[in-house]
Amino acid sequence: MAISLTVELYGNSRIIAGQKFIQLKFAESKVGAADVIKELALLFPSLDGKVLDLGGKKLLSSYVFNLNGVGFQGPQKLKLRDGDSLLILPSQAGG
Amino acid sequence: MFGYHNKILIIDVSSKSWRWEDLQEEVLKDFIGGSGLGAYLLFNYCPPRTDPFSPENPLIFCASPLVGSRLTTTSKFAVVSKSPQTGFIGDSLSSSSLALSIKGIGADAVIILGSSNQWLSLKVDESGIQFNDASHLIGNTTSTTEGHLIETLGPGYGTACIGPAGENMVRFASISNDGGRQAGRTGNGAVMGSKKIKAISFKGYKKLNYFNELSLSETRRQLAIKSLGEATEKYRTLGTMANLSVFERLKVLPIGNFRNQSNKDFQSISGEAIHNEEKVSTSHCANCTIGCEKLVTIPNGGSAKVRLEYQSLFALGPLVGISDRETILKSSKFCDEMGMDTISAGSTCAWFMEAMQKGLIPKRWLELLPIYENDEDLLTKLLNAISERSGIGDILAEGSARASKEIGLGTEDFAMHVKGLEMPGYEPRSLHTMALALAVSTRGACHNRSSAYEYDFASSSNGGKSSKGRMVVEGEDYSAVMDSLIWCKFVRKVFDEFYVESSEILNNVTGWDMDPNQLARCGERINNLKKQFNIREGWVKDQDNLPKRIFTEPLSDDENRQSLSESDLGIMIKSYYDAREWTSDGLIPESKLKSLGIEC
Repeated sequence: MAISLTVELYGNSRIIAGQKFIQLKFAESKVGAADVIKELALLFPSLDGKVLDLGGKKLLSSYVFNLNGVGFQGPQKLKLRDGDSLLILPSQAGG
Repeated sequence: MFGYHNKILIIDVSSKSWRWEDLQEEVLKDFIGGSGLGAYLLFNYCPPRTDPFSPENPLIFCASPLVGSRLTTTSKFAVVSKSPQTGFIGDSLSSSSLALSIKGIGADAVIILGSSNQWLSLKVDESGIQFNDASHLIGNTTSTTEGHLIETLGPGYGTACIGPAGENMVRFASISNDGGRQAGRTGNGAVMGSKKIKAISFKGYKKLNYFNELSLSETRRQLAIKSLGEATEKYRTLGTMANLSVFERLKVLPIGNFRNQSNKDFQSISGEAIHNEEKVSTSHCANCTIGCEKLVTIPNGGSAKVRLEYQSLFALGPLVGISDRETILKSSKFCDEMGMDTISAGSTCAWFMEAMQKGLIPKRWLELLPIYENDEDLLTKLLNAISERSGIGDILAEGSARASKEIGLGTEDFAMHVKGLEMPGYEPRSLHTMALALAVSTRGACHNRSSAYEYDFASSSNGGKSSKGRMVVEGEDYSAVMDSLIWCKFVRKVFDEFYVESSEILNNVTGWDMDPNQLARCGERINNLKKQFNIREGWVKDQDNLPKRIFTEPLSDDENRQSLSESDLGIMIKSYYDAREWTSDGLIPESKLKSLGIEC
């Protein structure tokens, strides 16, 4: 079953991509962080090396994922479902 | 000795005299510098139960062993006194070339005692001290004052000054230096005003030797490279104002005096929006490679720029229910120019505006209120009145704790402070480790002396309530070491093993043989001494608490996420006292003090 996700960009990732929200659709239901990163890099190549580590199929350490605005999760724990919002946030919390 | 001068300069403005005292190496090994050394000096130079506005309250400027080393982010200093907001230890950090000037005169710390009959501007250099008349500077803003002194004193002087808020002893007045940087929290500017010191300027070039310059040189190079990496990306790109949109999305942005009810959209004041739509330039402190400072040109403000930080954006925007960008930028600039802490100023106004909405402000106070058109206009006029202590401003200049106590009628329940210091922009009902840190901090509702929010934002923070105490202790001790060496907090993620790397750097500066555990122990010692100072000044357990609103008004029905009960905070506080090895009443046993080498 296909699923749709909303990726929300924060911090410099939003500035680079020029978008707040990105709608992604996947043909398969089993979607992980690596799939999202690959898709984002295709749509916004300029994110690679500044937000995304495409080679490592992960975010750079300056960013973290957050699912639906609830808690922080490492990519290996992400279980994405249809309709989810995946937030990409700066990892530094200070200020 | 390497890295230090082993000297304190003590200035008495009552008698217009000064003297130098030796600083023992053992003290420096125990308390390092910055905030830690300041706590030690305050404990020893402030007589017990001194009124914060009494001439006996020392105003202490502390450098650190790393000042002058040219390691990135280390041009920082601490200002310490007994706080007129809390009645407990008040310390505040600021940055840039003034730190180099203070250390350049040959002092590791400068203690100012006494009180003058007339306004003074102090000039401190290698030839001595001049106590100059400053009556012509009174009423001037911080930037005008600093600009005037740069022009009249000539090159090479670094100046700390107060604005009109400090002159008028607004309890949350700040001390300004290096073009608008602020030692902002706990009201040190009011203490400076109580001594009738408008400004103090330092100039000196006394050189220090470092034990292992070769190794330091390599560390300098490596840290500079690492400081431009992923660990500081947020600070270099959008600065701390990037927090606003993130915090709003995660429901940890306090809105409307922590009622968190607003129909306003704060996206227009997000860091991203400001970056895209306003003219923003980047600046940095002396010897800093990061450059977190974002100077925003104020719309319709001519060429005026404001150094914009998340906490100012939060306190003068969402906290007071205002989303108009121009009002917020102008208000932040106004606070900097008047020399007052934006968090306490915004929070006190937020409390007053809520009390007005609820009809709880006495008629005699309302009569003192200027005529206003809307909330934006009201905020502007309240800030102005506070800085002048005119009309209603004279009451609000006392801060939300004292003003609410005077009114009563339940307004104390929504005066959002701890121990008299107003709360920063981290929602304690969602961030429970932070909630504990705010409740127990020795300087009141402080986000900078624990960085406990990091535990809440980390994926591994889901420990139970009884694990929070250990987290806050770790965060506080780590922060105490950072604030004493002094590193900028924004460089913290650059270190792989903070205590290992920092002790090695300290040893290369001083020639000591301090191991990482001993350095960590310094953090513990500093926090215990700060607490012991507060106990001496009358602290009681009930003051480790949060405003009543936090317990009685949950943000949602989800008990685990957006609410905090008083009993849960009690469990966390007990876990904190246990982790500190304090008594159940939060007192420090004699044996604990002795084990840390603290003599009282």
